[in-house]
Amino acid sequence: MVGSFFKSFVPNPPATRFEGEDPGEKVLYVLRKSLVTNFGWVLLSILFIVVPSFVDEFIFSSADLSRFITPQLAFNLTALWYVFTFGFIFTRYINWYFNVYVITNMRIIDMDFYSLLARSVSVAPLRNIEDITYDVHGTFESLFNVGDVTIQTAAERPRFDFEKVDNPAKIHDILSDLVKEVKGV
Amino acid sequence: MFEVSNAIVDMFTKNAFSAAINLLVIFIELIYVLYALIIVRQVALLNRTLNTGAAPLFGLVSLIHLLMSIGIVVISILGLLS
Repeated sequence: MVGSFFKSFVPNPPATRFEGEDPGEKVLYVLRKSLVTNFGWVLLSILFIVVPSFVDEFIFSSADLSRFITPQLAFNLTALWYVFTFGFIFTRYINWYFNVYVITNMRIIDMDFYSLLARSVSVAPLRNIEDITYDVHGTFESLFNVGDVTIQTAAERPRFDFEKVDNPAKIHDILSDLVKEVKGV
Repeated sequence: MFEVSNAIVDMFTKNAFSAAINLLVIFIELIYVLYALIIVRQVALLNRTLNTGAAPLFGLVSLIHLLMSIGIVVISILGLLS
């Protein structure tokens, strides 16, 4: 159960619905950026968690500072810091979790949430997909098999990029097969 | 006389500074409550845009975050008053 919260490649996701879903439409895959792309903010969060213990030691070892910072104030600041850290971890996780590429039996959907107040959703029918390529470049990408899948379409948005997804070759294969099936090639 | 003036200066520098910092912290905490409210609203919108089985859990976590941020404001105000 817990594992499902950290999956970047979810085939046949159970109980998954999206805004604008058509009757008869079935979500086949939900893709997210690779889990390893979260490394930076996870490291920062660990730093946020351990910082107060060092700061407390510094404040209470300094006679000048400990005169002004009462235990009540120290408690308030520490509590605020940890709530902020919790909020930071939650918003970063939510940002990763909801930035998805959805593949249905009818179309592909790219949902981007840039921040808490900005989002964009692009859609292209599978029959409008003209070309699919993928590339894996760089040490990090090769090590973790992470890459970009680029989809050229005849839809309103001519190009879709599934960025930093796990196993791009497999996604390329899945999409190619779906497009062939829809176009009856 | 010297002792009295020293005590006044000491009281002013220590207590007034601590009180000013406490008020500043409460102000920051209040702004953070607004941010936590925006997160609750945004999580509700995200859950509507893409509804997975985890939607109720995300809603609950965002509410817990909001309650925690309100809680520390209350604790800070009570601490300042006592």
